[in-house]
Amino acid sequence: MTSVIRQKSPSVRAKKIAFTSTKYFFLVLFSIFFVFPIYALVINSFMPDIQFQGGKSLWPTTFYFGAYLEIFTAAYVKYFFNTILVCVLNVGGVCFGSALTAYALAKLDFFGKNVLFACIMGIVLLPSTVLSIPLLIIYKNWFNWGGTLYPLWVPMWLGGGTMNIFLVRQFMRGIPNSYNEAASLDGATSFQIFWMIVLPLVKPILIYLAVTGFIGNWNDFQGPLMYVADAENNWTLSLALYYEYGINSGAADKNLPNSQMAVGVMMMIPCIVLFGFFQKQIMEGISAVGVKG
Amino acid sequence: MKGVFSKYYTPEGKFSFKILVKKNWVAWTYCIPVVLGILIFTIMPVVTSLVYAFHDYDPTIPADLGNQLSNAGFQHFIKIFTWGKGGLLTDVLWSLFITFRYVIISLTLQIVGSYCVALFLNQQTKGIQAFRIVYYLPNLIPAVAGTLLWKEMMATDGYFNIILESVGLPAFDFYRNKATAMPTLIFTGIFSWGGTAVMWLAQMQNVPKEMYESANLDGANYFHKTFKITIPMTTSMLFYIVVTSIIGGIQSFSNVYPLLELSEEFRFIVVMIYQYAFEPDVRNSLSMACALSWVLFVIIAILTATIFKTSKWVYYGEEV
Repeated sequence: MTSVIRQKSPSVRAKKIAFTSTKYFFLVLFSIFFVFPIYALVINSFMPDIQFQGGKSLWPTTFYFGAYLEIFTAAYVKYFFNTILVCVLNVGGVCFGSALTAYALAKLDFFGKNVLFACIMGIVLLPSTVLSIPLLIIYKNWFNWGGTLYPLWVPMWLGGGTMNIFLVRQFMRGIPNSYNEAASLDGATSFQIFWMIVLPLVKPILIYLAVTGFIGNWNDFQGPLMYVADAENNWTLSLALYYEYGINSGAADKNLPNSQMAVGVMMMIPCIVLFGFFQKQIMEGISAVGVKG
Repeated sequence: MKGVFSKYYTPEGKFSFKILVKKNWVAWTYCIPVVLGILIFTIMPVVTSLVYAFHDYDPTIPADLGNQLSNAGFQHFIKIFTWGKGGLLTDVLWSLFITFRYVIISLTLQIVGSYCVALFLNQQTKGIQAFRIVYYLPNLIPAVAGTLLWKEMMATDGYFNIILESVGLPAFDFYRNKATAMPTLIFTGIFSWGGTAVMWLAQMQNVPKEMYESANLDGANYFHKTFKITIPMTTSMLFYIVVTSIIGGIQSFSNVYPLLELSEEFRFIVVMIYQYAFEPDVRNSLSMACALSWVLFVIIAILTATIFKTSKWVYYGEEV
């Protein structure tokens, strides 16, 4: 009814056009604001060295690809593969550990379940700062993991992170129990139910955890700084960006912001690709976190 | 006690360990990894940390001599709570003060700001999906790259000073100046609002459409609907964001540690703990770091408990 009236009245229509254009004006204006850091990151990476002696501008005098050539060394490739290794193994651990535990908590009934769940929820709230220093001592002195990448992914295979367990459990509780009851009547074992019925159904939340976990590990700085800072062979990209191209760099020519920003751009590209690819799953996952978290 | 175990009694009425294992071993198998994980990566470090907090640790003595640890009693805690010379209370309080000031200001701004952004993005217009992605993009800048980028942009010859100078204002060293260091850090936080806005948006889209329809019938305008429907219906996300942001914000590290060389204003509490643990020139005392992290733990625990106790306003949907 209202739409009919709107179409008939020219003044209301003009008002609507004005409203729509104002809306788009502000949408675009804020977009420019939010894109500005990315623009600056990219533009700075293409700026020739000479512009950093004074005379930076919002548009480089010439597009200079030297920074990218400069950072593309054997060491960079090594850091890149270290980072990939950590991310893939960590994410694999998150999916394995959290799905396994969440299945037991959501779908099975066993002695000690409530105690285990209470422990997991307690650990969610335990600040990581309390654990990080003693963990470093444990890794170094007891496991002999000093300077290795193991601390960055092995713990994930044993449980997969308490918050992740909680999220997967909440998601699994949404699956009707009639599914596994029917399957067990047909003679399926508990593991078959887990593998063939429950796991495919919780794929959305696992994809969400995998993608956000990958991006989080890819950009993580604190973890590598604590565990591999003094083992240059095992640096990840974040750490290399900070030590090799960032403030602590000894070599003056490498210290220029264009190579820092070039590393930043190279680091950002996989994240943007992943985000673009799994955008729908990420949004759905966030929505699930909100409802259940 | 008998109630819990009654399932595991033999027909004769005696508790049987065999039946307990038989009925539970499958489920227990699934839990082996997580139990091991909790024992090794949570319980063990918690105990180690407590032991270290009450001992003096000397890493220069080889571990096989076994005397790296010497009993210190409450010495470290006494030192933390001693005012003035020889004590750390002034340092710790200052560090806590700047940390909390940052958390309170940035969190308040973030919640209000990102909610406005989300309300703005929560409309049905052509191309809105693209705008949502664009607003989210700054979150994908790697943390270290972002910090280096802001350092670069806020430097005396950076973009912000180019803009200032073009208007005829003098150049300004945003991060090094004591008065502007913290506001600059908070300003750079604005660019992560898109990420929070996406979380709000997800929740806003779960609000039943019928609510707005019946509100429309009652003649409610946009502000009525926002304040009476949208905001109350998204309180569970607000609770989640408040809890995670407070805990995460107090433990800020990656976004401030690379800035420390520019200003003492960035010596947040976790940075201080890290320095005690790892930077020999500050004072290599792992024990003090452990003691400090326990003080921080108590503070965070009290805060979290208070938030959970006062969370009656949170709406979790009908079924819960």
